Amino acid sequence: MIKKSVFASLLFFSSLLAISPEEIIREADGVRNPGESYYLKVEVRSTDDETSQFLVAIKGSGRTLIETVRPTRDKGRNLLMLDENMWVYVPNLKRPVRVSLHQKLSGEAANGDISRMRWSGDYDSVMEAEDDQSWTLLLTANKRGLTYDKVRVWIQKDNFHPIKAEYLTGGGKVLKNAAFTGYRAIAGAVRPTEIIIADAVRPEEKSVITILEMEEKSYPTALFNKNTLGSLGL
Amino acid sequence: MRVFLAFVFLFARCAAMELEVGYQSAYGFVEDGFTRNVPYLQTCFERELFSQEETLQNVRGALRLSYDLEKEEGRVDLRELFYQCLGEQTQIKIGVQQIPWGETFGFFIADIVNPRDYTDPLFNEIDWIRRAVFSLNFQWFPDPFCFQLIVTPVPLNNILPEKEDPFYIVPPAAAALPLLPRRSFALDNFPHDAEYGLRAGYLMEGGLDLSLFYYRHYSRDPLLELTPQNALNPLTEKIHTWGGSFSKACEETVFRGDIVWHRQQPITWPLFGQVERQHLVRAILGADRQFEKGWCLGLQYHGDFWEEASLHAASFRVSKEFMEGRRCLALFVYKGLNNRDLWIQPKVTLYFEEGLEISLRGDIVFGTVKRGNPRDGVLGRFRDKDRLFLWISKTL
Repeated sequence: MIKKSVFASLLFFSSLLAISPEEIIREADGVRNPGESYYLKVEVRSTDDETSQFLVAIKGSGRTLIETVRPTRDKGRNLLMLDENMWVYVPNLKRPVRVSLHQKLSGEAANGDISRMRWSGDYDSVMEAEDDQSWTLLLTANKRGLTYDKVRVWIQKDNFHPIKAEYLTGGGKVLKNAAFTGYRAIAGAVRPTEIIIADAVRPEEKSVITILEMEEKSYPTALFNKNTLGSLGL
Repeated sequence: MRVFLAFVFLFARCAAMELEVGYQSAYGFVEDGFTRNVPYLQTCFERELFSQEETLQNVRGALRLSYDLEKEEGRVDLRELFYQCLGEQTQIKIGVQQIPWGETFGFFIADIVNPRDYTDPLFNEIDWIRRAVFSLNFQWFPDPFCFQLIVTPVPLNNILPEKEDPFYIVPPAAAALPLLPRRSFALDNFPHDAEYGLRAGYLMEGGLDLSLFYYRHYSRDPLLELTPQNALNPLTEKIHTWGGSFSKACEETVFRGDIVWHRQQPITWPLFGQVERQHLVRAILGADRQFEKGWCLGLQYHGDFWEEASLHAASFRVSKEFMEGRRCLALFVYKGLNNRDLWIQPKVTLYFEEGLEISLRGDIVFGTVKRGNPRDGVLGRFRDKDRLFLWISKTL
């Protein structure tokens, strides 16, 4: 029995030794995302106590629909992201309006913080450092139009849980710091349900993204089309 | 009444609903009185039906009840009542609906599927002034393309100002002339009277979103024909329109544009007179950009090209948000480049807790009707309509 446990541990740790940065990031994505297509209810709380609430539908790595629930003044201003393209539905025009990807969601949270929850596919990863507890990987965007050009992320070794991240410019300047907390069972696994994003220069300016609900859910592809934006609620 | 009762029935059984109460008031400086004085109640609902994986079906409706305190008359306006089914790559909507086309702001030249309410031409809130029509609206989305087919079996007319309305702008000399009734449309005349068209869109690899469209419809520009019997006829004729729209985001700047060609559009100068038919091309090209600290700036070029004349204008829009979006200051300016049109619209909007919104805007209009030809511009007839517009709304 003891021999079996030792053998299993050796196998696990040796697999960790052999693991590539890409595999680590894929595993970390698996912790953050329950599947290819799923639903989120998200709350964003900013420094001034303004709270926003969104319903999010994600399909694959390039399709995200964000429905604004709160504040009431923004209700109905739904966001659609298709890869590098974004539209916002304007209720008093009753039509989608093309906007830039740099449009902010709320406080320190950018649209990409809840709409693009996968790093693999968007970033190329390189191992920067590691210790007994975690790996430190540097991710570099391999697509145009992503919210962050580079991300430095710390991943826990024993369970691939993201611990924290630095969001960087292309030149390596830290824009924001993020902490992944609130680990609990949701959508079939233990996942982070809080992301605390703080400005790197003014750390007192921060937003907390809280995942209130999460479940795997199928959506028709036509839902993620600017021509159907505003037609249906989530 | 039947529409209202049907709506109440559906509303009572709905799964999601919204209610908005509000008040709109406009004070005209020259009139020294209210040109708009309307409390309203607006409700919309959505009810999901028999949805399966990868297919969503629902019924949506929106109704507005308003009462004009100046004319002492109420109005029931069905804004939406349609069934829709969203499949993996298709969407079908059947019923009373608004179908918006176009990418630009201020003047919605490509928004031609629905007729408009022109009783207050300076009130350019397109969601309010579009007249919902009963249509079949089918879309197919084979990525990265999009195809749309629209058929409106029984069209509707624009709503024009009546003689007692503040924006009935026929000159005093002609004010006594009789105004003929509008032509009516009926299902009996299907398909002769029907409006129909299609649109094709393509989202390119680099992010350029392009669409081309064709629509066969009754002309949307309001005009009054002076008949040989010396009466004013609110003429509308069926025309062909071809057009296109585009948008492209480059970093923080978004470029957008609309262009339409109305073939043999009926026109008359001045506002009423003998009607001619000319090809008319309209274009709006613009860009807008978001800056730090809640600033947004947009610029547009406007061109109207008739066979004998052309109008050029520019517009810009600047807005600034304060207090995390709870306050917004905005300014819209439209300026003629080869004519004397000028429209200045400053606006302040206050957002409060629990869905209360208050906005105060001004409409300051300059223009001329001297020459009696297209180079006068389009705003001269409204130059005495400067006003202050208050809008209060509360979402319940």
